[in-house]
This record gives sequence, structure tokens and C-alpha cells, in this order.
Amino acid sequence: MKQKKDMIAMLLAGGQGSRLYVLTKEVAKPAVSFGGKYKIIDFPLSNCVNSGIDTVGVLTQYRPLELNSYIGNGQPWDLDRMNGGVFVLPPYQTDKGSEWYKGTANAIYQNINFIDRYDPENVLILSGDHIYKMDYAKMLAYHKENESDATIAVLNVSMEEASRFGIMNCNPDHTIYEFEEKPKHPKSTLASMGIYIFNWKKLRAALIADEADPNSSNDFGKNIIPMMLGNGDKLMAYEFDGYWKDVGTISSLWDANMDLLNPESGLQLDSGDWKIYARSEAHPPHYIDEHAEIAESIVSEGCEIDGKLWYSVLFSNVTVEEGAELNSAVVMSNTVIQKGATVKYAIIAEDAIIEEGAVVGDDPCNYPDASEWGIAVVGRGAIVKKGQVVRPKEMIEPDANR
Amino acid sequence: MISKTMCVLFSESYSAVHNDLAADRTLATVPFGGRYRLIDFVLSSLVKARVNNIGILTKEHYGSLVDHVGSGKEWDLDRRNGGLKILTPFAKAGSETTRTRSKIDALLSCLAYLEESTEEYVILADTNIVMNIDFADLVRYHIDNGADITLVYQSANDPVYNGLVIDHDRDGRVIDAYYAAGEMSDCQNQVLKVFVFNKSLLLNLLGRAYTFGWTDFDREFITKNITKLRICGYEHKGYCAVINTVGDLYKASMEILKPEIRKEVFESETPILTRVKNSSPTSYGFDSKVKNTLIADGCEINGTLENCVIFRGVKIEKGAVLKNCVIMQNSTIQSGANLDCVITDKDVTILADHTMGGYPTFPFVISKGQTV
Repeated sequence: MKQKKDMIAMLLAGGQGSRLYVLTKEVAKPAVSFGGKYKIIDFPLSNCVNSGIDTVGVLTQYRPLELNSYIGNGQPWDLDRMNGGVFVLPPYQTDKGSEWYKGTANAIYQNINFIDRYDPENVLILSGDHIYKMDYAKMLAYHKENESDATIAVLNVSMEEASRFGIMNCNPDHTIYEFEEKPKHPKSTLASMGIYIFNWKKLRAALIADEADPNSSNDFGKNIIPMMLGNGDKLMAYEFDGYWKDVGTISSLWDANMDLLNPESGLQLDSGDWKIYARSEAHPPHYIDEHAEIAESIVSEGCEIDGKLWYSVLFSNVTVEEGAELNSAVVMSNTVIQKGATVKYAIIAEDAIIEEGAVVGDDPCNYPDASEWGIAVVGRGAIVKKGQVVRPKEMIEPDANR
Repeated sequence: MISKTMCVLFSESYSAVHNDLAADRTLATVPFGGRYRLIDFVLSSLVKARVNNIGILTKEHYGSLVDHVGSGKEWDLDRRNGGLKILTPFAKAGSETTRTRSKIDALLSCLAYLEESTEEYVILADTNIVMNIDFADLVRYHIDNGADITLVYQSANDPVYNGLVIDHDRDGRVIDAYYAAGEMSDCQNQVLKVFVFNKSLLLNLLGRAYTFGWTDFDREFITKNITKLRICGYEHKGYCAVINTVGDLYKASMEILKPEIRKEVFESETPILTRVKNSSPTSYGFDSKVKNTLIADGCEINGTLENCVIFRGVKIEKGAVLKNCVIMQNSTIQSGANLDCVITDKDVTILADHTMGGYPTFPFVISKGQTV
């Protein structure tokens, strides 16, 4: 029997993230790179460790290779522990057959045995596709103080945005009386952040009941929460007021990267008391050559810069040659931007080559019709040949030759 | 053959040379190259060559070394068998000092470690050498030449060098070894303090050293044995910088800004491994102007930098102008400060509008934690 835990975390990392298109063609969404040296999953993992949670199950399904090798033994997050640590939990076969994870709730249902091993009082359910810094210990204290059966982290959004989220309708004491998924006419602006603390006994029972219902879509938001409300369980909303962003789309991923350059955005990576940890390769410091001009940008280790950077985020080992110009660009590891190439309002994935004089993306000012404009994306390992133009909104497939 | 090789590293040089940056840390852990400590270079070369049993001899104030290398995890040296071992100074009960006075003393203090290890060959190396050396090739050379001892040298023309110099015959056998004296204008074969010994021979020599009270490693183990033993020279042809003084560190720091040297030292097939600190990437403000500069992670750059090496977590405020400087970890240079040929140790603050300078041959050094 393992030592009893107060709370363990289960991180849902199985989703494809199809709205990230070419960026998630070969990797799962939580393994998408972010902010110079991180992957999206570093945020929830680091939050767990910084909140004193030492046991994390990571539920994987879609394209797990990159994620598995990235998490490894959990050492970068200090999650290589004797009792606990990080575990990658893919779907598995049993004597009754084998099943993929049918939904978020089913993924946890299939891992009831894993959770039972630690006999936790509470279970924290997290998504692997959000960028935020949050102290789950404070949320747990709130959960305990209110003797709640489930506590759901919520963010106060604007009325216009509210219809894009799952909305919690609450009493003045923050007890939840109703959950509405993407309501047309929202009654409240408290949006679910996809972060839940459940009393494990209650959740365990709810998961088993949900699994027995053939009509259920086995989803936390759609099924488990309404079921618990129906059972008369006590559900509390926990209001969070820091930076939080769902990076499920190309434009939100680009926005979140740009937020790093804006000191007012509330997203700061360098605050010493809440570090985000990442598995990093040992690159030398980056080198700035004779012709470089850099303003309002972040640059990671191993880069060699001889071109111009404006409002850009450069991951490790990126080369920007003389005369190349980057404006509002997100350029991932090992990519080369050759002489005289221009990259504007774009995301370039890992290992790509933008050859001499090529142009990727453009400034929205040049597009009076906003529907014609969007972030240009170049997939992992793709080559944009000499002098080629990749227009705004266009996406180049991974390993493509253009 | 490399699997039969172990290594003992010296965290100090056991010479009388003074170095401000090694005042409260070992020479091995003097910061270099933006994110490294000197020992990272030799350790990474050893890991690349798959030498898995490495002992590091310490003398005093080795806290920084313990802190930096820890269990050896970052170098993949936290092994069940062998791996990395910090060999602390050994004091006999009742003796007054724990310090070992010479290299030979230090080696005598780890006799048990040498005897317990099963490897046939021992690499003895100083840790203050910045180079990318192929230890597997060195050991192969030692064995193929049937050498008793192999020493590494570089051919260089350095008028102020005063260390050991060798002459060798056409087969690479060392025929003379002496300390450089007076001003020399020709190329010399300067010994780099990286040696390969047959372990049984080393133990034998150490036994004699103990009996006769020898203390000078170069003289007793090398020079005196030139006719008795087969001592071979192995030339290191690539870049190499031996860091003893602050001036050495400054010179090497400026040299690694050159692309060809940087590529050779940092970008061989395997990277230089070091302790990971999880800093965020470096951010550049609107007023930054940077040229020919190496910058580590976690910095905030908003001033002017030319020919500098900037370590992790440094803040350069708007209007600060730095030329030919080495700024170590977590230092802050406030706005309007003007620095030329300055080295700051960790955690230094230069207040606004201060002007300071040194000369390339005599850089101005500001020690750890100072506010100017």
C-alpha cells in the first residue's frame, strides 16, 4: 500500500488539438512549444510541483511519443519521486477488451485503479492546454474550508466572451446551482477554467454511475458536473484573477506568445517565486552578431542573431541571418531564417528553413478586409524555398517543400 | 579501452597564482562563457568519451563545487557503479590541517579510491582548461604507443608562459622536459596538465613519493623519469585556454566571441553540459543595442553592449553602455553606467551613471556581491 496522499493530480493530455492544425499534426497539443523554451504542459506540471503536489498522472492518447519522451522520468519538474512522481497513463487492454479514452471523464474512470493506489482525499483534474500560473494549494484550502464536494476554478470573463465558455451560475456564496455549456444568453460571466478539485469518494461514485449510462458522452463539463448538481452535492466556484489563456487555436497561441512581450499582460515567466520548469537541452548562450537589431523580443539559448527582430519570440538554437527581418513572429527551435527573408505575424515550427528572400506572413494593416488576414504557419521541418511567399492565414504542412 | 580508464580531476591548480574570482570558490567552479563553470568543459569531454568513473580532488572552500556538480546528474554521472565522486580533503586524527599542499599530497589522500577502482588507466587532469579534447583518442594513443605516461601539450608562442615545456623525438617520445625560463620567441610545446598513467605505475610512484616526501608532481613524476620510463607527448591541435589568472579568463572570454572558436568549443557533436537553472529566455527592450555579444538566459537587456559575455539573470538598464565586459550571474548595471574592460563577479550592482574601466591586459574586477 502506498502512503496516503492528500491530493494527487490527473492531467488530461490526450487531446489532438485539431484547431492548431499543422502544429498538432505530429504532436499532441500539450507538447506544442511555447514561450521560448517551454511546452504547454510545463505550465500545469510546474504549477503542481510549486503547489506541493508530488503525484501526477498524465493521460495521453493522441500522438504520445513526443510527450512521453519529454516527460521521461519527470526529473526536470522534480517529479522523480520514491512515492509518487509523474506517470504517463495511456489507454490499455483488459480481459474485457480494449477501449480508447472516450471522453475526459472516461479517461479518469479507466484509471480509477491508479488513483486508488494513493488513496487520496481529493483529486485535482487539469487540462494540458492552458497557459497560467496558479497555486492549487490555495484552491485546495478553499475547497476544504467550504467542505465542498467539488470546487471548480472560474475566471470572470466579459459578457461577450461568456458564450464561448462553460459558464457556472452561482449563488452569492459561490455555490454553483447550474452549469451551462457555451450559453447563447449567459446569466453569469464566471467561466470554467477546466480545473477541478473533487472529493475522490464522490468523484469515484459519479464516474462509475456515468460509465453505466450508455447515453453519456463521458465528459466532465457535460455529464459529471450536471450529475453531481442533480445529486445535491456541494459544488463551489473558486475565482481566479491572474493570467489564464486557452491556447487551443493558432491565433490564441500566437497571442499568448506575444503576451510575454507585454509587461502589462500579467504573464511573466521570470518571477523567481513561481518558476516554470522545462526539460532543456544544454545549449550555449545565444550570440548577437554585428548587424543585429533587437527590440521588444525574447531570445533563447543557442540562437545566432545577425538580422532584425521586432516583437518576436525565438526558441532555442534559431539562426537569423544578416538582413533577415522578423516582426511579431514566433520561431521555434532549430529553425533557420536565411539572408534577407521576412517573417511577419507568423508561427514557424521546429526545424524549418526559410530560405533567402522568402516572405512568410504579413502585417494586418495591409489587409483592409480583416477576413483575408490571419497568422501564417509553417509546420515542423518544412522548407520555404528561395523567394517564395507564404500568405497570411496560409499553413505549410510539416516537412513540406514549398 | 576507454572502459578501462578512470579519471582524477584537480579542482585547484596548486600553484601560487592569485585569482580574485577563485577567492571563495574552487578554480574549477570559476564562471566562464555565460552559463558555465570551468570544470564543465573537461567533464563534458570525459562524458563524451564515456569515462564513467571520475573523482574530483578538493582542497578547501569546495562548497561551490559540491553545489555545482552535486550527484553528477547533469552530466549523466549519477551511476550505480562508478560515476562522479567528490574526494574531500583527508585529515588524520590529530593533524592540524586538512589541506593538501601539493598535487602529490592530494593524490596520496585518495590512494584508497585509486586502489579500489578496477580500471587499468588513469587520466589526471586540471579543471581550469577550456578545450574540447577527445579523451578516447588520447587513451588509444597512450596504449598504441606502449607509453607509461602520456602528457598532452600544445604548440604555442607565448612569451610570458613559465610552465613545463617538452621536446620530443619523431615518435612522440618526450626527450626533455623543463620549466620555461626567460623570454622565448619561438613556438614551445607547452604541457597542458592532462596526463594518462598506467594505474599500477601511478600507485608505484605515489608509494615512492610518500617514502621520500616528494611534492613537485611535474619534476618528480615527469622530468626525473624521462630516461627511465616511456613518456609520450600527445599534441592538442584545437583551441585551448588555461585559466589561472583573471587576465587569462578575460582573454579567453573575448576569444570565444569569435565564431570559429565558439563553434569548436560549444558546437561539437555533444554539447557542453552544465547545471540547469531553469531561467526564462532573455528579453530585449526597446532601447537595446547589441553587437558581438554572448548572452545567457534570464537576462533583461535594455542598454548598449559590444564585445561582452553576459551571464544568466543579468539586468542591463536603459542607457548603460558596456564594452569588452564580462558580467556574471544576477548582476545589475543601472542606467547611464559606462563600463569598459570590466569583469563583475556574481550579484554585483553598478549604480547609475558610474564610469569604470580597465585594460585588456588588466581588466577591472569587482568581487561577488559588491555594490559600486
